Amino acid sequence: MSAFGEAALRRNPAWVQLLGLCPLLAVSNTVANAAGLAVASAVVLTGSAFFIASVRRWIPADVRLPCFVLVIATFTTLVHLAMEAYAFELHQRIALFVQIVVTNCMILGQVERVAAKVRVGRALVDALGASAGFAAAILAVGAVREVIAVGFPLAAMPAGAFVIAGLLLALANALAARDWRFVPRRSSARRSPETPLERQ
Amino acid sequence: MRGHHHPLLNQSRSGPWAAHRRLVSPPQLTIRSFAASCSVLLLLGAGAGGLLAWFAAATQEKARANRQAAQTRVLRELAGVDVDAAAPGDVLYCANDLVILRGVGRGYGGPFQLAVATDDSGALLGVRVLEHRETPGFGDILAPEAEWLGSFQGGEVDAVTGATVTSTAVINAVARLAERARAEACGP
Repeated sequence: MSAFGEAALRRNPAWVQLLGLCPLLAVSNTVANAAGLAVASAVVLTGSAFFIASVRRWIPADVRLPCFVLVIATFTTLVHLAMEAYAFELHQRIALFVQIVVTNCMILGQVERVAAKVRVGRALVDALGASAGFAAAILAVGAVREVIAVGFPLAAMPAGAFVIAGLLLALANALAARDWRFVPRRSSARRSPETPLERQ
Repeated sequence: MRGHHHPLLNQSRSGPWAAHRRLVSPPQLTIRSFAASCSVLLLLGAGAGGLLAWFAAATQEKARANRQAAQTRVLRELAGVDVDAAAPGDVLYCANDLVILRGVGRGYGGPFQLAVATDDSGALLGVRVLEHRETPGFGDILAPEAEWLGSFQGGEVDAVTGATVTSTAVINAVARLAERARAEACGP
């Protein structure tokens, strides 16, 4: 599996690492909100990973976490300000959750575990993979909630978010447990009809 | 800690996990490393502060225009007339049968801005909160779709459980503004 796919699927931030669950549950009431937060998280995650990977040799190990948080907070505030100026409608609905992207463990985890240790290109690919994985997860929850909420309003409420995210997590686990290698089935023509069971 | 060997941890300085170990176990603290840490943090902080100050200044105008456009939209919903939210002063609209007043109250999260519309007899036509900093969730009652603000038109308003400070502040501010609107003499 490629580095991108590895980060997006096998280490999916939401379904495998179970990180970033607060926005996953809170902002997934509609697809539009989910997409907005997915983009905001992706920009912060990729930007921080790129910056930290490129300056990692100058960051002393004993103050690396304050440095990481400072960088993440800067990117988050940039996204927040840009959103207020250029996407005001979305800003009014999800501004709070964009601000608390700072405390999203998914981003600090990605930066600490990957971006602080690998070259810039690899960090960028990995961060993009993680962003795509998180976006897929939150968009899936958002889409399911929005569709179900048409006939079943509980889905739009916080309790519905927990139920649906749990069911989707179970589905993701079931899909991950399957063996996805392609094994061609033996054709029936080549199988000998003279098996003991069929003779009887 | 350098030189101390933990019996359970592999602390060798080579091998596939050496780079990881160098990151997770901070080296011995010296004046030199302390100064290096301080200067990196200081530089990073200064750079971040400068970048954010520049970006905030660059987007400030656009954000203010967006806020005012949103307030103008809310005021149009409130009374059905076009009112410029950017106009200075508290009397936003004053004609023979409609007064729109803007005022501030002090909520749980700080000052908030609201507007009330009254007719010539002083009866409340509607209340809208233009800007607030109440705790998200608790501040939801201030949204026009929450219908709590609509209960002001009936004259009977209950404080909201869990948002006592917020709702009491809004009730007081509306009462004060309605009083002022009655005193406002404009039109025939």
